[in-house]
Amino acid sequence: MTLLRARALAIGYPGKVVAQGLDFVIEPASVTCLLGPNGVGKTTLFKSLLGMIPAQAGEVDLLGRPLAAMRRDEIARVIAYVPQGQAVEFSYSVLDLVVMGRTAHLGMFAQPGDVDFRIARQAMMRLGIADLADRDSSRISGGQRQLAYVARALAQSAKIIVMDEPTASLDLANRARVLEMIKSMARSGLSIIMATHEPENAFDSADQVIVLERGGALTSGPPQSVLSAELLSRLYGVPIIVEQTASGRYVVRPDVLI
Amino acid sequence: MKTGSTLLALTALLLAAIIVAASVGPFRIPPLTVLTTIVARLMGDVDAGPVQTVLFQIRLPRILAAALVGAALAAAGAAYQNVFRNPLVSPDILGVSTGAGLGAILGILFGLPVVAIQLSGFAGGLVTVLLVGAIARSMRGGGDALVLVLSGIVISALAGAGISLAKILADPYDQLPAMTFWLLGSLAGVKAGDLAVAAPVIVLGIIPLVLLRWRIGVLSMGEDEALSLGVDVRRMRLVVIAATTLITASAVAISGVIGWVGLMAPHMARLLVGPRFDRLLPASLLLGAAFMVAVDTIARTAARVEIPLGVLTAVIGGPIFVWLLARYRRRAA
Repeated sequence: MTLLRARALAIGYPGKVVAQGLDFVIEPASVTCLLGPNGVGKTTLFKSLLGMIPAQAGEVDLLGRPLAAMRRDEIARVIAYVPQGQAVEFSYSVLDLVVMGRTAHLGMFAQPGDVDFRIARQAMMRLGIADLADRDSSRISGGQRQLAYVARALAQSAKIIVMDEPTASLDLANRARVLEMIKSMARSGLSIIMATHEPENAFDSADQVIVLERGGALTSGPPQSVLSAELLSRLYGVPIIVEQTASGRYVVRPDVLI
Repeated sequence: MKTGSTLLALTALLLAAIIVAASVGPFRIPPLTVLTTIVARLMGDVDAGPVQTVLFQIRLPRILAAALVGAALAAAGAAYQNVFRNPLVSPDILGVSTGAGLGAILGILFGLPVVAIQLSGFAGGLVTVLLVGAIARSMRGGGDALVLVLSGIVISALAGAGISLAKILADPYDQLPAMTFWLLGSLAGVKAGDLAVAAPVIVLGIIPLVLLRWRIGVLSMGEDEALSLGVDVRRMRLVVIAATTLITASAVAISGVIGWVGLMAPHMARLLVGPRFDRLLPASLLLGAAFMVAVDTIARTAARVEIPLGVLTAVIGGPIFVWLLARYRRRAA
């Protein structure tokens, strides 16, 4: 069953529609990369998919139900969100931060119980951050915090996880770890939607790419067919070359001589 | 568990503060006598002797009022700091206290009886927050915390101007001292009857905070994240603002404007039990109550005249706060 379907979706705010007529679907166990230059509305699209801002036209369906008609906790049980790894104001322990992912599964007046803490610890173990449980989440590195947010999304037991540039501000090793983890989450049945500025990431890990161009044009499909040199050049406004190496890897680089 | 024992210690601290407070004063009652008299009274032994009269007619109502006001302001502050994601926010951020102040001051200016002054203070607080909410709603992005806070500041400033005007118009020998005393906070005039009116309202305001403690805690993640975690942010915020307004307005109505406690008590509690709201709320309640009982005891015993509470909370609370901050920051680093 299709997890998410956008139909003739218009995103933006009253009086300022950023893009319209968007149609795409998210299938189970898939990785979708969202590409587009800065300021094109990637975050606005994410907020619309998560129901943080209402669609200006058209609609988003989650598991066949219109998002606009769903309660907050119902939405949260289908789709989770991983913000960029900024610190929060209060110094929660990492475990307390992760267990907040269980909120949508708790009754209105309930507290997380042993089961919820166990699920939170399992999520942390899966990401290799079990040893951070008692650390102050405002005093760990940005990469560790990013992993903690991913663990929180896992603990949320949603079917789709939306990640806003999960690899931005990560070093080489953490970046590889996060991408590897994303692929493994997809193999285990989750669907990931992530914004990225690196087309090579999309070639490497995406089943589907969604490209949002200035003016709101949207193209979606497998990376090999969508991410042509022509489209990428148009997208970023500089000539771009797409090459495939002997090992089958795609290399994307601007055709600019320095 | 660590949190459990901290809460236990805070409860003991509160009880100790109450007993000491009940024993000191112009008519000294030894702490042990305080205890035995309370137990005897609870067993049904009522007499008209001086000990029981002082204890049950004068001291305990005032002490309970102090505990109630302290707990109320601390709980409201803790909830607001979470909702607005800002540890520097206090319960009067949306203008409750200033509005209540204006209401009470007008009551004094028009020579109303004490009960009417309290009611007028309570109404002033409620009207102010409703006004702030209406202004914020009429703007784009009205649910925004920033818009709410800014509207609160504007209306607070207006109410403050109203207070200044009322002070100028007031009779300088009779009304002005009453106004000043009220604006600095005092529990000197509290009767058991006031307590019976205010306590249920304050408890009514605290109940939703206790029931919704986990979701209120999640609000501290910020609007977008709380939404994505499944919390109906707007409704939750509305509940907290309504509950907190009720709590603060009733507290102000019986004690006058007491600053600083609502900001500081949650902070001290956070240093002791961490930021999780389900732990922070009980710790703030206990700490706020104990602190206010101690401060009010000093207010009525330290000098020949009553010292205004607002002055003492700042003078005593400030150094304690700095000491705690220094101590725990060092340990955390």
